[in-house]
This record gives sequence, structure tokens and C-alpha cells, in this order.
Amino acid sequence: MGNLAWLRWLGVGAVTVAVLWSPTRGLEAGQANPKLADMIKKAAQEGEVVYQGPDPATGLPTDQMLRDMEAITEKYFGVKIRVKVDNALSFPASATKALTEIKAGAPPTFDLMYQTALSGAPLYKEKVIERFPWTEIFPHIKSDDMEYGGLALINQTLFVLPAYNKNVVKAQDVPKTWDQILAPKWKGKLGILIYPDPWLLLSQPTAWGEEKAFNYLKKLMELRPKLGRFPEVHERVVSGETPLAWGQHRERTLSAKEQSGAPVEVAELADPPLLWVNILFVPKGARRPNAAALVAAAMLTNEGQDHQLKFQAASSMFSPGTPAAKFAAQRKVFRPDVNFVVEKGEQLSKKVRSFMVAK
Amino acid sequence: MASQGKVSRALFPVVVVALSGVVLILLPLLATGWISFMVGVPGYGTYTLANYLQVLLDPFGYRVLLNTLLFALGSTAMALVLAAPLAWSVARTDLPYRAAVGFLLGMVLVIPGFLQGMGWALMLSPNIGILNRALIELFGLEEAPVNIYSLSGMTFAQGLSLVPPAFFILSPVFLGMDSSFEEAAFLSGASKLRTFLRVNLPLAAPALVAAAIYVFVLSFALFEVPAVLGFPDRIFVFSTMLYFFVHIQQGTLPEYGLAAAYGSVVMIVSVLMATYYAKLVKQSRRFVTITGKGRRGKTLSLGKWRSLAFSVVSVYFILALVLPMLVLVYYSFLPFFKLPSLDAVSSFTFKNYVNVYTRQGARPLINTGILITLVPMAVVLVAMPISWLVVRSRLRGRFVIDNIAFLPLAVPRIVLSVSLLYIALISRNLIPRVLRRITAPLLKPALFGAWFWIMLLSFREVTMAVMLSSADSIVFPAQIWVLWNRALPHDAAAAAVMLAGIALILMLVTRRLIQRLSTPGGF
Repeated sequence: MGNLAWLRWLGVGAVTVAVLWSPTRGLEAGQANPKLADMIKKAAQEGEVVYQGPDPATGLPTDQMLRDMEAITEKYFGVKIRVKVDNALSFPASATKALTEIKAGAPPTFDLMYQTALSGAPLYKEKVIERFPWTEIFPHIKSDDMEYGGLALINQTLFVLPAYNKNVVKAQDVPKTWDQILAPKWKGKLGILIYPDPWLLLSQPTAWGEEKAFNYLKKLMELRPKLGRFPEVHERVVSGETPLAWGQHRERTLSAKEQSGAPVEVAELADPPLLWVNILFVPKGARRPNAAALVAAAMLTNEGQDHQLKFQAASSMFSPGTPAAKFAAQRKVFRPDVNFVVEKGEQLSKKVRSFMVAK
Repeated sequence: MASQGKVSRALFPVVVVALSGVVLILLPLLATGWISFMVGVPGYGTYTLANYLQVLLDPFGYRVLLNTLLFALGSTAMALVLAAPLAWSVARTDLPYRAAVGFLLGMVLVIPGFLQGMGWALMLSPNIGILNRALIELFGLEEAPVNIYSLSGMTFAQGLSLVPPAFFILSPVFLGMDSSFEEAAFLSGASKLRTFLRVNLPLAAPALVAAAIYVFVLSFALFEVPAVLGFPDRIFVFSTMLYFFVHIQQGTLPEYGLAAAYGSVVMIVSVLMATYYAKLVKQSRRFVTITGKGRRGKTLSLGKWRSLAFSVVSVYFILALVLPMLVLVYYSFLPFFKLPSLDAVSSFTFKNYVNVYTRQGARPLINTGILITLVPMAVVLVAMPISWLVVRSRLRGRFVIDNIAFLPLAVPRIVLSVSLLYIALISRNLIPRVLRRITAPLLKPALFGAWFWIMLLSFREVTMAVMLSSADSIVFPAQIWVLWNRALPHDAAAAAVMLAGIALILMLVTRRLIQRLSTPGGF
């Protein structure tokens, strides 16, 4: 791997150069669209954005990720915007920080926020997300690309499926349905996610419904799974400590396998995978809303989606031609219903917690 | 004069600084109490008693309380059982290489707890633990003999890492003890062990109890080891439960109010303990042997016990420092986790070390440098007048000040950092203005020791740094935590090894400086 590192750097450089030198279609669009032209003008004055988003999930440098975001934005909109990342807090803590600042009448720390559809829901519920006429301003954005009733842009969709250590789990033992994970043979060998998200999603009437979802969770907890967040559960699968993870991001598991040669594999179930929807939005009162909106919109272009793949091992199933779109075309998925979460999220989160902590 | 319960003009600045310090301490704690009566957006939600009702009625809370008590008592007992003889041996005996003990304990202290937890998980996990697998193969066992993912496992790991604070509290006490009592015991025919048990320990009793309270309260609020070793198997203590409330909530706001209510309960317990602690300090004045007026005795020869004592001390450092560091170094060179083997060694890479720099550049290191320079200065400037008022003055209410100064220790840092976040929103300019006006004319060697201690603590501080840092202010330990959180544990291990290396250099330099400033028994 180490010997090929220079090739990767060369690739990164080539993409950056290609992006910078390619025709600036955005400028032309800006000239034809007065709202976009106005936004570009204001963004140029704003000059930078503070981006609350993750480091690359693929091992590439954070700085390179930011410079590429700038390059793509410049290519499409002809404006130089400096992107600074601020990602020390967890997603829920970032959401609370922004919400508290906005409620206090102060501008939020972040100009552009990256959240999951569920972790950002409190901001949606409190109506503190800046509204832009996205589809009007940006021709490449369609109504499918939006979440929160048109307030946020979907930049990535990840599919949650079981992952396993292929050195430890025999081919015939790999689960083919969600129910097969409840087999007693997995007792003490299973890792599960600490987040309530899967259970909120499965509780939706469009998925399993509340009763079935919680019956399933109860049986799952009887297997004494080890709790953790995505990285911890992933690491325990790689190390063989818990050779089967109930759910992991399919794309990131495959990317980790490719990047490091780790003995992990995804169990491609016959059942629908759960959809993890990641979004970008501008919080209300942001210091640099126009620059933030341009950077967000740039992430939904073809190059933007390539960027998401390269740095986050993820793309949006709503952007045609992406790996996520190709995967989703073949199967049904369980998609989170944000309004269901806003209505029942608090109550169900507490219920999930009581199941998770029960001894 | 202060001794008459009045404040003279000369003492006025001291009192002002001390009281300002008290206000600075109280602000976030009061904010914690305030948030605990709220639901919804902290500071802007609705007032309610629901959080306290849940604290009282939730059986999960009681389970957590029991776990926390057992964890804190166990860790404290372990830390004191190891630290007391260690401090005595270093201060009063001819233990080999005793000059290095304080230095090595500084290293133990500086490694963030979650990395120590990681190290122990890799050694004693029932499924993949290196030591467990070795024991299984060696003795033909059917299952792992030790499970580190248990209450006793996390108590053991935490106990080892709490030895340094207990040692640094007890060491000056043994060092300053009047040796005439020991000599009298020897003249009466008492053995060294009997002298230690019947003379040194009773004389150090108030300090031992004070150290016990300090370590107990500290372990009550510790987060990192329980998060790595207890959380996966649902063994919650207060801090991990609060983390669960604050960080894992999805689709709705984190439950800061509930977390603050639990934090406030811990604060009340802490006030009671601090009051008791203050009483002890008051009583300790009667123990004239620990005032430093006594004669410092000659170094005691351990004789036949010397080798045994050295072996015990070595075992401690192997467990608390060498093994976790070895595991970390090993982990830092791997592309992904592999059990030790030739194949694993052949896959070693420096990529993780390169990544530490390429991901964030030098910014976290620069910020850490600024932090460890400024934080100790600020703390010493505020703590010095507070300590003077408590210990030397006769000012009415001085023990209240002492109790307040003790409080932040007991409040889980997650809660404290949330409170600080809100105060920062309200009064961005107030605190720096107050601090700017304070000058420190007396920077003596003793203060330098305190400065060094705080520097180490601020160097390895994770929780507060993670909660309060931003794009431009991220520090090195917070960066390690972020790497760990982003599924990059090998990069995190590489950064941790670098952190330990920097700490080593810092301590060597500071030790030389302190030696020049000639504090006997210091580092």
C-alpha cells in the first residue's frame, strides 16, 4: 500500500487541477439566473465557511478534502470560498450547540452543517434551518435531493447491513435475513450500534412497525451484544472480538476492506437494508449563508458526488449514476421518515435506551 | 489583619483574586444547577422538576449509582494501597531508582485514560486479548481466565492509573514527616514494617484520608476507562450514563437537563465530602509532625526488603505504563488489528504517524502548547490566593472557599463543559478581562511544582477539550479522541504514542528546571 501512496497523491492532484481548469458552467448559469448571480456575489464577499462535518472516512487528509470542496465550488460557481472544518463535537452535540446559539440570538458557530437526517431533526423541529429555493437557484438539484421539506440537501445515503469477519465467520453461517441474526449461535459474538436510529426507522409503519421492531430488539439484547458506535463496532469485527456486527455502513465497510485489507465483509441480506441519510444545511442566522449554500450545492454535482465517494466512501442514491443509486435500484430500502421521528422520536429514543441498558 | 478576621489593605488584592477565582469556579456549577431544572433547549427550554423526579424514580439510576460507588471505592482502595507504600519508599527509604519514580508516574498520568483502556482491552479481552490468549494456550484453558469488560476489570485499570495523584498528594507528607518518631520506634526495637504501619501511617492518616477523598471524588467523575471497558457490556457508571444522555440521543435534543440533574446530585455529595475534607485539614493542624518544622531524617535502609520492594514497584510500572504503551506502539504500526505474529510485524507501516500530521497539520500541537502554558499560569494565579486564605489566614468562611474550590473536581466534565459553553455565550469578555488584570509577583519553586502538575493535567485533558474546542482551537488529546471516534484507531494510537513522547520531553525539561529551583522531593 505504502509504495502506491504517491500514485494516490498524484490522482488527488490531477483531480484538483482538472477541476480548476475545466469550464466554469456555474458562471454561465449564474449569468442566466439572477438569484444565483446574487448568491455568488454575496458569497464572494463572505469569502469562507465554517463547516461542521466529519474528517474523511477513507484515510485521506482532511486538508485535501477541504481544498477539493473549494475547488469544486469554484469550478461550478466561479467563486473562491475558503472552507474551514470544525468537527470536534458529536453530531447531536453540534446540533445542540447551534440551536443554543441561535436561541441566544447569536450567530451559530457553523455556517454549513453535516448531520444525519435524525441527528439534525431538532433543528428542523425548532425551525432554525435557513430556507433557500434550492431547485430554483440550482438546476442540478431536484426535489428528491432534499430532506426536511426542502430545507436540507441529501449529500449521501448509506445502507446499513450486517458486517462480519470473514476469517472467523464461515460462509454458511453468514446471515441472510435480519431474523437469522437472532440465532443463539451469535450469543456473545455480536456487536450492535448504540444509536436509536435503526429502531426508530424500523418502528415506522412503512417498515416493521413499533411492536415488531421492539420485540426484535428485545430478542437481540438477550444475545448479550457488545454496544458501540460505528467505529467501535467496526473495529471489534476487524479484530474478531465480535465477529458479526448487526449493522454497519455497507459502503464504508467495503472501503475499509479495500483500503487496509481488513478481513471484513458485508452480509448482503435478502431483506431491505436500512437507509442512513446524511444531509447538508445552513443554520438560521449563519454568518456566511450564501457561501455555505454554494458549497452545499456543489456537493450534489457529479464532481461533488465523486468527492463524497473519494473522501467519505459514500454517495447519494438520488444522484443518478452513483454507486448508491445503482445499489438502491436493485432493492427496497427502509428510509427514515423525518416527520415520524419529529413526532415520536423522543418517546421511542427513551424506549430504545431502556432496552439497551437493561441487564 | 487577616489573623483577626479582618482584611487589611495589604491583603485586599489577595482576597479579590481569591474571590474572583471562587466566582469563576461557581459560575459553571451554578449553571449546572440551572440547566438541571430545564427540559428542551438548555437555557431556553421550560422549567420543570421532571429531571429530578427521574433521578429519584429511575431504577437504572440506582443501578448506576451502585456501580459508580463500587468502581470508585475499588479504584480508590487500589490506588491508595499502591501509592502509600510507594510514596513512603520514595520519600524515606533507599529504594533503587527512586528518583525515577515520580517521573514515571508523571508518564502514567499523562496518558489519557481511554488509551489505557484501549491497551487493557487489547491485552485482556476475553476473545482476542493477547494475555488471555497466551494464558489459554499456556494452561490449555477452555475460555479466557480474565474478562476486562467487567466492573472489576475497569476498577483494576482505573486503580492503576489513579496511583499518580495519590502519590503526589502523599509524597510531600512522608517527605516532611519528623523523623524523630521513626528513630524513637527503631530505638524501641520496632522493625521497619512495624514502624511504617504503627508510626508513619498513623502520622500520615489525615493526608491519607484527604488523598482518599480526592481520588474517590475524582474516580466518581472519571469517564474514559469506564467508556472503553464498561460501556460495551452495559456496565454504566455516572459519567458514561451522562455521555449516553448527551451524545447518543438521536431525533431529539440530548438530555442535558437530566445529565445536569445527576451532576447536581454528585455535586451535593461532593459538598458533603468536601466539608469533611475541610474538617480533616483543620484537624491536621494538630499533627505538628507534618508542618515541616520537624527534622528530616536520614534515608532508611530497606535491607533484605529492597529487592522485593523494587520488584513490586517494577510490576506496577509494567502493568500501568510498559504494557499499555507497548500495546499502543504495536497498534500504531498496524494497518488494521492483527494478533501479534510475523505476519503482523511484516505489515507494519509508518502511515498512521504520517496521517496524524496530514489530517490536521501542526495546529493541534501549537494549540496544546498554548494550553499547557496558559492554563497552569491561570490556575496557579487563582489557586495561590485561595490556598493562602484557607491555610494561612483566619478569615471567616475560608473553609467555604476551600469547599467551593474542591467542587469542579467532582462534577463530571461533560456536564461542566456544557455549562461553560453557555456561560461563554453570555459573557465572552468578562473572564479574560479579570484575568488580564492579575499579576503574579511570586513565582516560587513550590508554585512551579503546582504549575507542572496542572500542565500535565491540561496536557492530557480530553473531555473538556473535545466539548469546547473549535476549528482553530483543537488540541492534541482532542484530536486523538476525534481520530478514535472516526474509526481511525491506528492513527489515534500513533498520535497517542507521539503525545507520550512529547510528554516525556516536557517532563525531562521541566524536571531539570525544577531541580535547578531546588524543591526537595519534587520531580
